[in-house]
Amino acid sequence: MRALLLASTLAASLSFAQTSRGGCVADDAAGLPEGPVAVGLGLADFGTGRRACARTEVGLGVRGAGIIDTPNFYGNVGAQGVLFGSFALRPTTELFASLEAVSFGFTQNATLTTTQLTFGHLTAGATQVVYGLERLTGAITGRLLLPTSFEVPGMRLVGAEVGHTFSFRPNGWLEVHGAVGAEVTAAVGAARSDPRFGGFLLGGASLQPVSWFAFVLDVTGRVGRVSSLAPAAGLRFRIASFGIDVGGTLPVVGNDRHDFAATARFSWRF
Amino acid sequence: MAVKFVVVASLVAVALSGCRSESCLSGEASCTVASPCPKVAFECSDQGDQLAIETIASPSQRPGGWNALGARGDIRLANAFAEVVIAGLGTQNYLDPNGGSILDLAPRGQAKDAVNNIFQVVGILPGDAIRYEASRLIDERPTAVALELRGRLDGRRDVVAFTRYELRACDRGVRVRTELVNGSADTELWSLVDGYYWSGREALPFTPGAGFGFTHPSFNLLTINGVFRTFPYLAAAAHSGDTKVSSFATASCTAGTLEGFNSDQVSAAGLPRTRVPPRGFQVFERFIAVADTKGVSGAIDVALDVRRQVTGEAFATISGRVERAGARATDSEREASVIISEGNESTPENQRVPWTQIVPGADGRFSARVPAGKSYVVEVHSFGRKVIEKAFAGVSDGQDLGAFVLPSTGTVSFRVVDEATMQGLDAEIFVVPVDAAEREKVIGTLHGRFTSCAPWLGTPSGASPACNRVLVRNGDATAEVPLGRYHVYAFHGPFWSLARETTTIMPGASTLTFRLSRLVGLKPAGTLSADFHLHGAASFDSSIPDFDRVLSFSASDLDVAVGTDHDVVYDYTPTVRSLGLENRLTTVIGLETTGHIPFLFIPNSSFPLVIGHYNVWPLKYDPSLPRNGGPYDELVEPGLLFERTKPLFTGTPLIELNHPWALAEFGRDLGFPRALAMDLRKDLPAADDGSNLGIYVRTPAGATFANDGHHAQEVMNGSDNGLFLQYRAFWWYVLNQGRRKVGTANSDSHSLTDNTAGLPFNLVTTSAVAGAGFDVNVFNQAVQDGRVIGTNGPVIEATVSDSTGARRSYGTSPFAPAENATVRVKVSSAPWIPVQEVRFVVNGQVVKTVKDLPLPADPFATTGSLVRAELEVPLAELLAGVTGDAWLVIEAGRPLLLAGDLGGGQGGAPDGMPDTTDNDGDGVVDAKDVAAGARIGPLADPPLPKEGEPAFDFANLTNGYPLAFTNPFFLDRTGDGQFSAPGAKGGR
Repeated sequence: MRALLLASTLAASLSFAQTSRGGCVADDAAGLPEGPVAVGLGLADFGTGRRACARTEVGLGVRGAGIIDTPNFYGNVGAQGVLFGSFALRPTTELFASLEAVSFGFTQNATLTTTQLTFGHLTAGATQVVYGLERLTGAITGRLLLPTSFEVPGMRLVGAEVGHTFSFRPNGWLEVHGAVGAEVTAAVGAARSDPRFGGFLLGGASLQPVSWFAFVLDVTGRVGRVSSLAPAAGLRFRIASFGIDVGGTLPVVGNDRHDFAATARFSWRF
Repeated sequence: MAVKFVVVASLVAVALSGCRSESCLSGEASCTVASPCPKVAFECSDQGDQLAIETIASPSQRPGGWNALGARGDIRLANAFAEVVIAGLGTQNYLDPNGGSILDLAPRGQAKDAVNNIFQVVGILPGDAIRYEASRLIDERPTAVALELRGRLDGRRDVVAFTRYELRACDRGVRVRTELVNGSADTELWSLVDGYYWSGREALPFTPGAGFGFTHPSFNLLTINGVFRTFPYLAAAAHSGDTKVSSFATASCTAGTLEGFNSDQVSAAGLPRTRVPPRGFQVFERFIAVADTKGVSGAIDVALDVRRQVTGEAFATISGRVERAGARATDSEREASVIISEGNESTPENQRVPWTQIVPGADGRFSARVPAGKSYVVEVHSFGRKVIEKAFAGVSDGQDLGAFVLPSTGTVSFRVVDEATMQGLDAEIFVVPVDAAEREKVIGTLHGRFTSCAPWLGTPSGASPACNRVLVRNGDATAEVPLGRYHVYAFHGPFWSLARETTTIMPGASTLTFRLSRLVGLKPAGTLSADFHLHGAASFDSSIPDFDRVLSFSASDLDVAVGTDHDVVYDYTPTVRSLGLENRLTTVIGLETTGHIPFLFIPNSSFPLVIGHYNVWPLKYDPSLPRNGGPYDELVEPGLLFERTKPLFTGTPLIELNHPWALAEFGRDLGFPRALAMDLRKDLPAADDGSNLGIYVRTPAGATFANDGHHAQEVMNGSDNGLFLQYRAFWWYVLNQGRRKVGTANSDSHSLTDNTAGLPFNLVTTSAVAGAGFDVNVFNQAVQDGRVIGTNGPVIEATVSDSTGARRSYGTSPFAPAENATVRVKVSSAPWIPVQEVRFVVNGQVVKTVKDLPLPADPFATTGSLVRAELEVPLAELLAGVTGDAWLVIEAGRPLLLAGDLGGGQGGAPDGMPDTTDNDGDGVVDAKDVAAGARIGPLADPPLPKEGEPAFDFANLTNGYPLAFTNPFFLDRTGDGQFSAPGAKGGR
């Protein structure tokens, strides 16, 4: 009886699954976020894979990350309020930007503590689909880190990231995605610029049993000043064109000291 | 396209990395740290030829003063007004991990260095200190001289640091710039500050702020974040009570305030606590002024000049004078100390903002700078109490505040003579109010700091008169004493009678004469009285000048005084000679190793620890070497520390474990056993088994000593016998483990006040003689052999008959007792040191107590029997119920409080260490004895006796009670020629 109920539910769910537009989500799931989990461990979420498909949306979100290293008497927790948006210039071209409108930080060194509230990072970039097959969409993407943050006193951070991202949708309820990218960041100010180079490789999948929900599982490997292998998981929901995207990640291998990073994003797709 | 993007971004980044950065923030190898404090300049006539920069090659280049430490390889910068010594790289002192900190700062040529150590840190963890690794001398004479240092945070190699110390020709101090760049991947919290290591009984921090001045909120390492304050400057001055005093102050060269915290132990002054993300940096520029003044005002005058130039804050110079009829002098803090605080009469004291403190000159005149245009309250303190307060509204530059007339005191001449010869004696006078009401009239402090004293005759930590004590040299001393009624005691050690005069001090001059008698026969022939634990001004936590220090040894009639200054070797012999005491007093050169940098982790604890303190002697005093030739004592376990010390011994070595169970101070344990949280209910393992006890017995890699490789252990520490029950319990524990450690009794005196030198002391049976013919090898061998009693007055002579019928005294050599052996005990003492009972201790248990011994009728008697008990007890009676070998210790003195172990170990578990006394007096130690809100304790000391009760006068001198113990008889009952450990259960 239970098996029958499960099979019926699965069949009903598949009947709701949308048809694919290449590797991109279909119109009947318009508000559902897509692509890799939208949270990373790097500066301004550099090193986080981006979706291959263009869309127009606006949204806001919160992001938090923390290191709680009790044996070394160290803790650092940050949270940002993020405004983001994208504009599908063409079906194959997207412009996007993300602004940490407010960035809060709490740091502890032994029993000393302090907090900081500043304007955060602004990134802007573009994605261009370079191939679109029946079930596979691939794009190159790039973005710039603009020197808006006051987080580093006396210094401004700049950077750039380029990469390739793809989305493969073998059927209506499974999407496999991946990304590879390289980044550089540097500081501008009185002290040394200390350019830091890095790269990442991401693979993951999104299971979308119904048009209003998806579950995402990714693994990201990063190399550079900080290297890590980090699984990430996300849950996605939609109500018409309104999308909700929550996710989290943590490094399991490498020298990244983060104990957690998580995000919750709310978007409206046009 | 993507390839192009990467190439362009990389080119931009590389181009940015090549941008010219400020000072050394770029981290370029060829950089030069910018000259600090460009807004600050001082004027003087052409003094460029006075600028000096040199690497110290001989002790003569050391600035001089009680805290002077500069040694070979350190860097000295000087101009016509100031000289500063910065530790050379590789030289470790106190909290400075590798050199580069300020060791000495003094007015030029004045031998008045009052600085222990000024060092740069970004937090409170060991890894937050800057470890300098390279240095460069910059000689820009006649304009400036500078030392530039570069290094990294000791715990984070990717945080680079640079510091430049600079003196210009007219500077009244040293200008300093420190730069730090966060090259790590993590956001850091930095509190980039100069740490000022006062360590108590030394210079006191003074900061303006409502209710501050010399007063600061107390804190510990867990609450420190809550006591950070901002202040316009930090100032300090030494309080040694003599002329070797200077003041110093620091002010920011870029901002209106500094942020930090203050205590008598340590201060921090620098930048606000700041989150510094990766690639962030901080730059801290400050001026550290020094001035030849007794109060802090001299350096504050300079700091206000710096602030005028940096912030535009104007200052006014005001003046006045203090007067007192019959005053012997006014140029000391005891006579007059002037505090000038912003506010008016109606401003509550905790809302007034103290801006400066002045010690007037010999003519009573004073002047000082204060911020202009404010209203001030001027307080004059005399003999530890505020005696005058006047308000002045809107003071103007050049304003004369007029005269401040101090109340009268009595000028008392003390005369102390040997009754037999009428020759003057070196002695110590104790002035004690006759009752609580009299005490209340005269109790005082140094502006609320240090200990309170009644009467307060001078800074407790400094030269005589100090607190309520006056040293007498060759029979004569004179001191100002506040009016009141007092018991006045003359003391010359426990082998002499005690004299007391009860008198009312009136205005004007008076004389008190005391006659003391040597109590013939009290001190056994062939013994030397010795204190193995003594500090003077060379220690970072002592300000007592050498003259007073050595005179206090003589006042207590000590035969042997082992100088054990913290972390520095020091030689008191020249002072002994200058006082003409070399034929009867021997000072031995030693040192107390003192862990500052936590590093050791033990099971079930995440906090790093230090290994506590050990005394080592004899050593060689070599002021040309860092720490005067003392060992580098950080970051190693005891066994390796002993190994480092081994080549420094100049004779038969003695290593003593000090105050083994003392409470930690500022997160630094004072005794290794307590640091390890040893569980005394368990036996020591044969080798390191990974447990806390295993650490205690293990031999560190590279060492030939085990961590418990010391020879002796303090059982009594301090004149008040504080924590005796715990020190004794640990000693008994190691004796039960078969470790034949010698028990010792030391004053651990740092001043005339905290403990009286020679109380307690060790009575060592030895063929060595004090004075010119002293043989430290013979003496130390006697100590190693355990031929020692520890005592603060009672003398115990004890023997046990051995298997040959001979009477054997205590000592570390085991022997087989006779089948019908007896223990003979004779206890003697001065009449003022009553002995109420004798205790026999076997394998860690008191097995017999002879109570209610007759007490001397007159504590001030100079004749009569000195014998308090003569006993002969069958050994079998004492050993009943004990199997195997046994050790026997005999104690005499006051009855002790019942104590028990209710917890206190790791996780709050019992640990075999007594922690709570029978505080409700019901004969049982249980939860009802524990203070409200606590899980254990208090471990109380016996109540101080009231007048008319036994040992009242003894307690007036010591705050303690009579006590003595012998070292053990090690009884080889099994006859195998060895002493087998009874174990934690004492063979029962």
